[in-house]
Amino acid sequence: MSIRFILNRLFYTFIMFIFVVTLNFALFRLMPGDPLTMVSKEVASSPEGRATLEHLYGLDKPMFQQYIDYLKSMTTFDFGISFHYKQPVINILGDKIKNSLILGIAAVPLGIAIGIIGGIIASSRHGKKTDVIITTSSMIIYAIPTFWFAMILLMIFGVKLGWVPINSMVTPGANFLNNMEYIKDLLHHLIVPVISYSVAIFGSYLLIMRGAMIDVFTEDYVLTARAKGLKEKQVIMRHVVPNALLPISTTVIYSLAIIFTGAFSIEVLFSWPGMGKLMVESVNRRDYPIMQASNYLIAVAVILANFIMDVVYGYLDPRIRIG
Amino acid sequence: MSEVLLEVQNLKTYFTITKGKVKAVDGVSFTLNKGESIGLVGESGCGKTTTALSVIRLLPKEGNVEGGKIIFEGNDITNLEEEKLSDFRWKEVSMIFQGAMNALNPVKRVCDQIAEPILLHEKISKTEAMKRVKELFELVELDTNLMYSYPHEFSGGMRQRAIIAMALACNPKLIIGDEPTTALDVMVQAQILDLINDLRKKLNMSMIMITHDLSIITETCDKVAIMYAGKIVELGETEEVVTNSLHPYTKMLISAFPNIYGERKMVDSIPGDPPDLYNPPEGCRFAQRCHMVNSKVCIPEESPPLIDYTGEGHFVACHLWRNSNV
Repeated sequence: MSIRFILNRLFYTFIMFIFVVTLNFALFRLMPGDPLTMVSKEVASSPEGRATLEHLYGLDKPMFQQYIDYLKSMTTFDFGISFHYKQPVINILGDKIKNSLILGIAAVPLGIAIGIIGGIIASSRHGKKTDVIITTSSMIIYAIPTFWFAMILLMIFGVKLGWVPINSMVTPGANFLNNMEYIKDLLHHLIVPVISYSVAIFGSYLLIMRGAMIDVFTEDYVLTARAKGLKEKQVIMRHVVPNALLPISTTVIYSLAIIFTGAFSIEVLFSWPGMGKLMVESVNRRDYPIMQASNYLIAVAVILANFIMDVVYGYLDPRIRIG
Repeated sequence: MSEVLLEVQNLKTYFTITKGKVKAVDGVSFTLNKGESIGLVGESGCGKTTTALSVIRLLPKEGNVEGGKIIFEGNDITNLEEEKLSDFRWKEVSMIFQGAMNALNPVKRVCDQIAEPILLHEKISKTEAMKRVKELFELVELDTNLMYSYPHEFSGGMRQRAIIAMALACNPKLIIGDEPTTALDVMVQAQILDLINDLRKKLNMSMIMITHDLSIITETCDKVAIMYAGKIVELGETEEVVTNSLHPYTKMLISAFPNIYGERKMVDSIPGDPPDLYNPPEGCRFAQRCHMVNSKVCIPEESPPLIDYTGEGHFVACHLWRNSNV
């Protein structure tokens, strides 16, 4: 892996970053409505009051100066004060991201692993009963709306059987004697959201992996590998899987990036205090600073993921390494 | 008389499709001695690759050996279990695939791919295997500094050399070359053929060469089997078959090649298409395209047997020969 290759990707990443950030700036200024009225109807109704507010929020400065200020605050993670919480946005986001990460790190890799392994098994028995069963059932599960499936799970295991709590991350109002107790309670709350989340995502991985594997199986080098006397398992693991992983790596890294943004329907349904739930609530409350900051963070996460993907792809596929 | 290495007896390999069976190889027999090379020639779909894949037991899952025997060094390998097949492949019989295509895995280093069968079949360390790879690189006249490269960094000719090195990795007794020079330009083609010839003599290996190009056979093979529609129509010493061909198909095949010494003219082609092997015609399978066809004997009778009419090891399967000489 050459330094030049990484620098090259880094350069394009930077260009993309500037583009997205600028778009984020323009988008909110093109939106209809008056930000000052949003802050205070009484003050904004008088001309003097308007001038004071404009000055306070820096809206009297020329557009270019506003843009520079905006860039400065974005790169220093200074997203202003939330309308709803009356607290710096960054303080609120930090906690919510942490909660989303707990859920995402437990669920997303699990879903990806199930999908990839299922895809390998299905494709290696291509056209046989096992393949038909795996592929059809995962397609059906994939087609079920996440919120519906999660609600059914919640109804059975939470309400009917009472095995798991039905909402939030930890038992509200509980005092934990030590960390072990806290983690136990957290894991108890995690079970159903993690199952729903991974079930929601594994289907697409399974289908992509299966398709990629079936493609690779027809390649000449697979015949070469068999002719060498490798056992079918060795042929699959050494020759087919490494090549089939190339198309799926893009999707995997993108999914890892959006762990930060949380899973909207799952978080809302289970009252999981993460980014997804926060964003849905902020839209309802017209909490612009939080929306803008979340938008920005999603964009940064995706851009970073793209960069990482470029580098990883170069590692996985020697043909991509340039320069 | 030298020792027999491979004996193929009345091989029948059929492909099962939804409407029935395609008789891709239908009663092929030949023997190959140690150190000898045989060429399988014919147009696309005549069963030459299927014959070879039957020998190394690498048929696609629709394909099945439904009759006949394959005897390698006196052992019947027709029904060898999967377990023993792994030991047999590459160690006894290896293959040279078309290198210009995708016979090398694009995400693995060339040296690792060559070392793979060595590590699989012999109990030696990775370092020793790499030493062997280096020797093999020297043997096929490749720069050993390029050992650690990836296949896409090689030219077509270099890739073909690497594939030959890979085929030699475990010192097999028999090498099957499946159109090893197709898709290479003529200059590189000549180099690769020379290399194969030299190595075969140096290492005293037997070879089955599959090609549709008769000129390759004349350069590399002792014997040649001309195949048409799943059957061998003519078999004998290469020179004898080419200069003194008996079967009308062989004659037409040879006249389809331009002669650089002769008059400049368009080469002859063989009109028509090979028959559908799902439902092969009665009688001689070449009858519909044969310019010498005699409708009284060629079509009503059964498919002609492969018989040595001269008594000198030159076999031909043609009713016309049977009727004129018997």
